[in-house]
Amino acid sequence: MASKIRILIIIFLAVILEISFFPALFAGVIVPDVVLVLIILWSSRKKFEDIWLWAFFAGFFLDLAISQKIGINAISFVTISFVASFLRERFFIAQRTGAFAIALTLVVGGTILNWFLINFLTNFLMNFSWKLLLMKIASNLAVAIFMYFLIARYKRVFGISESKLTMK
Amino acid sequence: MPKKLLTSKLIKLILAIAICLALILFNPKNFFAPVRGFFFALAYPFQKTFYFSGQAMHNFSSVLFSIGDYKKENEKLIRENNELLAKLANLEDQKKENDELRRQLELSPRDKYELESSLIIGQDQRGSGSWIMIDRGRSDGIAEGMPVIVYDGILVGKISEVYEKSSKALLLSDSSSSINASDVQTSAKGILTGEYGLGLMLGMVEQTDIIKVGDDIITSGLGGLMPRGLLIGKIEQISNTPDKLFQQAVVRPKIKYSDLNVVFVIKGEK
Repeated sequence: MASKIRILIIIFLAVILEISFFPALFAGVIVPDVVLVLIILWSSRKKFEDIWLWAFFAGFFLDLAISQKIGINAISFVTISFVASFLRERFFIAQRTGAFAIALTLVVGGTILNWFLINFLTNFLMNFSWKLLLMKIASNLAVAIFMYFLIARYKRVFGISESKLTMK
Repeated sequence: MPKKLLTSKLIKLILAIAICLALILFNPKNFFAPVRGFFFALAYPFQKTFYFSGQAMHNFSSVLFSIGDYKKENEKLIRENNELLAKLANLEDQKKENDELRRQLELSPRDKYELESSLIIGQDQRGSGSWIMIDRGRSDGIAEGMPVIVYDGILVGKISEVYEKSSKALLLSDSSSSINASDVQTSAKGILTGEYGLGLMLGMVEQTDIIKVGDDIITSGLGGLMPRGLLIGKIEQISNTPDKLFQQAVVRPKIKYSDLNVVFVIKGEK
């Protein structure tokens, strides 16, 4: 129960960071998807069965906070969590080393997928801009690097056990 | 075993997607309004703290990056100061002229409204200039539809959602924003809409009306709580709609929405 409350608080704080801290820090130019990065990093360490509900709630929280239609971020996060989890288990599980690079690769892929999904579900059209997408990827990578080491350092706080595939 | 696992995963994925799609399609906004209200009541102190921390860090980094320019900046400021002193004498005359022009152009006087000043505590995280969150809410007398302006009477948006201590304002550049506007110089009327955070578009302007590049656009005061005479921006480009029934114009906003720090909500007339 304590672990669940901890995760809930982490998601809540990530949402606040994304809608209040980073827009002020970068003057609204480009804002990293903190919640998305968190979900991807979790998915790279947890089984889909353990993360899908958290991915759903994280998306739901973000939808509540940004007041667009409820479900848009939730659908994106659950899908990305599934894909990240699937890729990790199918292709990356054999990799003994390079967990960091794999996590970053998943962040890049997840950012691109999220970009298209959100754009499509919000506007039903593609406002495509290479420049904005690249800036988004760069900002998400920066946050992911920081968060990766934070999670590695405080595994228990983030609800991750020592073994990558077993859950608390 | 792996096949069974995949099936179980897929069922969960499909279930989650089905729930989300149902939520998106039916969009039960009112159903979630109490949840949202509770969320923002809980988030309010965190939002305020986080936003101000972010702003402080932004200001600090700006100072750090510009430290090398300080000497040049100082010399420039001394020069500008001398020029400003010379110009000061002319300002009184210009003020009178400005007041007269505002009266002639029917722009709203700045002291006409009951204003509620508010700080921004959150904004669109997609960087598309869609909305801002302010630190004034129901307890401060804020209501849905109230116009949001900056200090010199420039309209930036209107209140779209109100919570106990905070509110969300939809910026003019949001795709769902739509207000009645008119051309100051020619009195042509139209509807101003947002262009997915990219800019503003004045549409539904009749072919018989005259609009010109460089004309000022203000609120026309038709409908809702929006008063007449709030400045929006300047016409940048004019074209016809594809069916040639109406004219439309790209409007450049008077201010950059991402640079906002303080805004005022018009609660009513004095």
